[in-house]
Amino acid sequence: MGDSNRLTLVASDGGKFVVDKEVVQMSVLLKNMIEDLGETDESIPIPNVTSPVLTKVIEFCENHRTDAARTDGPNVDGDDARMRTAVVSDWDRQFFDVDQDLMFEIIVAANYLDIKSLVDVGCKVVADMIKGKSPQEIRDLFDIVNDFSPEEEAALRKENEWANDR
Amino acid sequence: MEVIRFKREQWLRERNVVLARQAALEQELAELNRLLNTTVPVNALPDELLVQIFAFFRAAVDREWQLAGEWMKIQGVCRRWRQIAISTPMFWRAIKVYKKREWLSLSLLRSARTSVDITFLHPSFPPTAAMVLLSHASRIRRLVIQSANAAWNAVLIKLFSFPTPSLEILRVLQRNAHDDLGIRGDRLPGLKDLALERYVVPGDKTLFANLRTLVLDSCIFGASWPQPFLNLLKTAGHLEKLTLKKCLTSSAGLYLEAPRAERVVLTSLRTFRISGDSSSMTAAFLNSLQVPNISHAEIECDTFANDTFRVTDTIASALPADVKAVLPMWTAVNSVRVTAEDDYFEVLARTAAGQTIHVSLMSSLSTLLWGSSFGRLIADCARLFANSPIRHLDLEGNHALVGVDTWRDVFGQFTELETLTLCGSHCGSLDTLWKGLASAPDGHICCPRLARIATEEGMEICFSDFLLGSLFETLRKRQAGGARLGLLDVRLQRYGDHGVRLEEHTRALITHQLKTMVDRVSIILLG
Repeated sequence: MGDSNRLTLVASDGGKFVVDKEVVQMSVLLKNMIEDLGETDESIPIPNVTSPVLTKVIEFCENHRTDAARTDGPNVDGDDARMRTAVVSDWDRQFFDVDQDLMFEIIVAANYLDIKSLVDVGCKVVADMIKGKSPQEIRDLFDIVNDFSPEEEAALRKENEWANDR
Repeated sequence: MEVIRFKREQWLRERNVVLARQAALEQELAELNRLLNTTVPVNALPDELLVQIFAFFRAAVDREWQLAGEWMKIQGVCRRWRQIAISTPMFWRAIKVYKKREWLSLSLLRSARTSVDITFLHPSFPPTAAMVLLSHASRIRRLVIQSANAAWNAVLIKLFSFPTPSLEILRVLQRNAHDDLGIRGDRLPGLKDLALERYVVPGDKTLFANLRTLVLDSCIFGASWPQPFLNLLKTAGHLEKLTLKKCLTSSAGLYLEAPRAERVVLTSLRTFRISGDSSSMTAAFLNSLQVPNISHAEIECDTFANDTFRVTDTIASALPADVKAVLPMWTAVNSVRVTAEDDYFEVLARTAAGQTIHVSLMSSLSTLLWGSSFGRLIADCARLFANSPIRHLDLEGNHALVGVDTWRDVFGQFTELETLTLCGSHCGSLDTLWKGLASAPDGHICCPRLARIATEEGMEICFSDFLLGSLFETLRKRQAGGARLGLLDVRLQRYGDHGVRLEEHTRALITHQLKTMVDRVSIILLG
């Protein structure tokens, strides 16, 4: 029998990670799986997450293991006050100071694993990157090209005018 | 001519072919660009995550007025972002409109079936364009009209003739007439927050039964004030916040009834604010109420239109004779800050539980009476708080003209006083205060628990022989009577009577002598 407080996660590329159960339980998906499996030595496969991404996810969970449990995600129902107070610490910003491929893969993985605090922090970091930029600056930031047709551009111009004048 | 016409038609045909090709190419290019955009990392995010990012983005835009512009920038990035932005109704539910009816229509369309919060900010929005609201009446959650007028009122009367079950917050402000919007509880069963400016107060009891917040500014109650309004308040069992501004004086009937045996008890009320009326009207109205569980009460009066105000009146004129019956928390007040600045009086009282009462009065006194206004105010406060366990007293005003007897009355009332803080730019040597603190008329020590006397920044005591004489005598008496002071923290003017300069070594000597009667002494020389 291995250590009952630890378990092994297997990334999509076969990489194995032995981690504390307490850390893993920040993921609602893994927490439910552990509860379903009960005491077991079996590894848990994470088919959608590669080793580099899983490394970062585990790093985040270990750093935030003592945080109060967050069960509520960001509220898109207009609860601006709650989202306005969402805090991104210096450590979190440093954590997301990676290339864009990895940054978005971490957010997608966090969403898949249902780690609400990591999803929140990731989305807030991206939102802060966008803030104050023009559409072209946002496109440049994310390598997006302008794919609007002339008709769509015209509609946008009109709506912009309404929005600015309201 | 024939040749030219023929050529022109031929070139036009060729041009149309090129234009068609150009349009097709533009479509093809847009499609290629769209495909290219599917390959960039940010667009690997599923829609639900982009929605969350946009939600955080909206919350992160610091200033509300910037939001619409910033929000449109997001939609101008690429087709996918725009599609997500315009197809998420929650992003369109808070609608702020200045002038553009198109913006209102677009926002209502994109908010789909979600409840909407609509604010009309500008008087130039055409009210007729707001008729579109009628077909959305069932999903309006919050409606704010900051500059209503007669045309707007017609729209609102029409709107409120429909059931508006989702409406929770209604705020309508206008500058002109006093209209009746015909608001009824059966049509607006969810209304919890009502604010009206310059309207007739709705007379429907079922409406009041649901209200949590009621703000009335310059509204009228009808001919026989105040009983109809008090009857409505009786039904307002859930009311938590009540604000009345300039409502008592502007009401049609100004007859003040005698204090009634049965007060209207508002047990749910936590915040209460009454302002803009004369002190006598305010006091009479307050006398009809009891607010036992209040956490903040604000009573603000002026006396410009007051028929009964006397020049000797201060804060007490704005309060009912039995203030404790109206505000039971009054007896728990343990901290009071009293301010008199010329013809402006203010009292801020707190209880240990954090409840606050703020009373202020603009009295329009003649300048001849400004100097003595502070003395009259603190004498009034001594009487008003006679049965309250006052431990902390902050006094701000012109101390120079307060007589010994007034100080004796004040300190004689506040037997549990522990700290006394003095503030104000005119104070003289405070010798009357020190004398007043020496002992009560019956020979007992005043305020035996008094442990700390301090002056706030801006208050500089004039150094003189009077000061030293009365201060030393008082401290000696208090020490002898077992009421030795713990801290004396004062600011002294460096130049005293007749231009005598207080030298540093003198300050040190005075400090040394005071320390024989006070545990800790701090004297700061200024000027």
